[in-house]
Amino acid sequence: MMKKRTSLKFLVLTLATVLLCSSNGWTQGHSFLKTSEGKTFQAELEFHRDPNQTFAVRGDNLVLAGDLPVNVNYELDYSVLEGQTLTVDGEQQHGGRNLVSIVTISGEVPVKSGTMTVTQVTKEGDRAFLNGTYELTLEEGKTMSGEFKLHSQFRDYNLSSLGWVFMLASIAGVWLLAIFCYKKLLFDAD
Amino acid sequence: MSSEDIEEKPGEPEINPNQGQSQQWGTKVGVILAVAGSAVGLGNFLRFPGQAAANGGGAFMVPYFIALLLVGIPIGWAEWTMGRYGGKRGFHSAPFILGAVGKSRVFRYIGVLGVLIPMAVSFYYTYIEAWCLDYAIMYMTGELDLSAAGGIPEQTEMASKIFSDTVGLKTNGIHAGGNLRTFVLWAIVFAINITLVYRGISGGIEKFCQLAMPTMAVCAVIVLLRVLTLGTPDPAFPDQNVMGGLGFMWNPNFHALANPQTWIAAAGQIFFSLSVGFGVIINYASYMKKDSDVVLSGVTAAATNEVFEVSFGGMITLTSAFVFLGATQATLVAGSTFGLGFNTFPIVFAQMGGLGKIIGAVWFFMLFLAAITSSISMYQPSLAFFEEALGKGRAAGTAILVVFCLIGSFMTMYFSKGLVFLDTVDSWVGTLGIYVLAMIQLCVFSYIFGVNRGIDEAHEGAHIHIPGFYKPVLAFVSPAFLVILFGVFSFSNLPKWVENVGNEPAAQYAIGLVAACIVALCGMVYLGEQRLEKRGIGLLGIDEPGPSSDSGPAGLDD
Repeated sequence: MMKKRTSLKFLVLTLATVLLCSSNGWTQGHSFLKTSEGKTFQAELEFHRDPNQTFAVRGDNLVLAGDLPVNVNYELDYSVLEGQTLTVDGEQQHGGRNLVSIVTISGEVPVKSGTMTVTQVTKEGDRAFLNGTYELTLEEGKTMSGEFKLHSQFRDYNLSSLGWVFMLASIAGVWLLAIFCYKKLLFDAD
Repeated sequence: MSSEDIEEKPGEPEINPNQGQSQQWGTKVGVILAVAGSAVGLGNFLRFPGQAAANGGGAFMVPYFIALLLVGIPIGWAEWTMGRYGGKRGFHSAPFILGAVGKSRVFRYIGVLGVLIPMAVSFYYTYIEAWCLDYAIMYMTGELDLSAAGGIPEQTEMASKIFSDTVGLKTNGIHAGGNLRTFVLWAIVFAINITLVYRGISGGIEKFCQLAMPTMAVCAVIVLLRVLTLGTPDPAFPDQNVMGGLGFMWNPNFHALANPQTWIAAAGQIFFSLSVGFGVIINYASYMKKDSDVVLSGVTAAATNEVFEVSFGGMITLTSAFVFLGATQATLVAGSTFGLGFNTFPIVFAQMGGLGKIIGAVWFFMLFLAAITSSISMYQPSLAFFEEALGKGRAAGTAILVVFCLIGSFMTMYFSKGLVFLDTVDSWVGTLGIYVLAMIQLCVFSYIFGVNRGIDEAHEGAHIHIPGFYKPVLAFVSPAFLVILFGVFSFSNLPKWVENVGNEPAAQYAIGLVAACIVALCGMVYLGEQRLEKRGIGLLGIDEPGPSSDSGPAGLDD
């Protein structure tokens, strides 16, 4: 009976944790760039901490770097970008690094140039999104176009409180398990 | 049939309980360090952080630990239990152990996978091991110094060239680029591996792992301390600091949990990291004493692997890449194990100044140790199988193993262009094969041997008991998890792999080699069956010696 209760408790706890952690993801929108053929790239838009006229779109199998029509930083009201066109370059200095624009569709393809037109800036919860359409000219004369809906927030990588919690809990968890096992093995077992 | 019934033939090491005693682990910790050493490899330091950062950072740890509890540990227990059970029956190789547990000849032939996987993976793994040794030597001698190359773009180019030359990336043939040097180092590394394996379970593998694992931990601590004290090395980029690097790796993105890919990635990471379904645990556990604790041993080995993966791999790799190269570059390299390890890290060490050379040497020596503790575990299952199937003794078994490995490794090194050969063997055997073997082993354990009997068998000599909820987990959850993983993985990868085999001659050679190995190993199973039959040893092996033999071996005659 006790064993059954323990099992049930474990399963309920696991399910609750998963639901709790996932609920945020189910209610809020994703940041992506979609091709006209329906392929979706998860990606995020990055600006500098200081006002600057360069940007980067970075995600799975995708790096786009280019110029902004106005000075923008992550604290700015992004509505100034509504109706504006962002220029995508083959290479761009952003964040002190030389970024090469690349798309991976059955192999890496360098991006020669392109444009991203912001049609609307929307808010979902505490997140601001740039919505619009894009056109890219790839190497070998190929083109790629579609729509985008991208986060327009500066990504702060500093270890957050939750980051601390997850990091310390994970490390402490595996060490405690190892210590428990070795103690049991070396001292408690016959 | 008892052990006394076995006809003794002088000079021929037959399957009998005495053989089990002559090849046995010396200490309780020895087997755990050996299994953990097998599990701790390059993936712990180079693959895990990339997977975590790309799939939710800290949030990745939720599905990761769930997968550890529901997939990794239970499958591990099943393997440990079957291995020790096989050992009690006088068997030490996956084909004959699975035949005994599954009570069918068919499983002997399916069990060939438990020999093929570690052997085929060893073909290229010792080659990678030689790269690690090469890089460690180049750092020790000061030969690898990217700081003289100028800025990061130049260093990136130089690091790519060194890697390309080391592995012979551009052309086939062992004389290409710097590949001849790697070939010589491979020969040294291979000789060390074979010597250790030939010296036996206790005298070779166990002693080496008892030395290598703590040394690896010390190396990891040295590198970790350096990484955590990097501060903000370049004032021009104040955001690129240690806290940012740790945040890059650990800040949770809960949105990722809504993506099934995150769960698949977490389960896959656990699965590959723990070396389950690899044919190693089942072989290593067969050398345990019959009253050894397989439950505690299984969890301890998994916990040791997790310590290296989470607390060292999770803190060192991407943190240092972020600090010196920034978020964009760290993201780009995170998904590539070789790219991160052999292209990015030399650039990172170059940014550390003079100390970078020492840290670089320590880092690559640690990777070398991680690789060699894994590779020796890949040879032992094959050696045990050759001894068991052919009955020609350890020296002859080792000679056969050397022949197989020379052919396989030479082909891997010769067809080095684009690493197509290596990738093909890794994909079809080292990835797909592991899924298949793990599913078969779990099904044999849960549905043929029986979950209840399996857990009872595991509890023999156990100081901790498997919680009751693991019965449904072993019967339903873990197999379902594996089937889903296998389905998703096959759906997303198999078409690409098949196309690759159709287009690339090197990939076709790799598949040909694997097919030839399967045929040869199946032939040996047949010879082994004939040999055992002549000696009156059946599918189930010998009766368990000792007190329990009076009432028949545990469970089998029920």
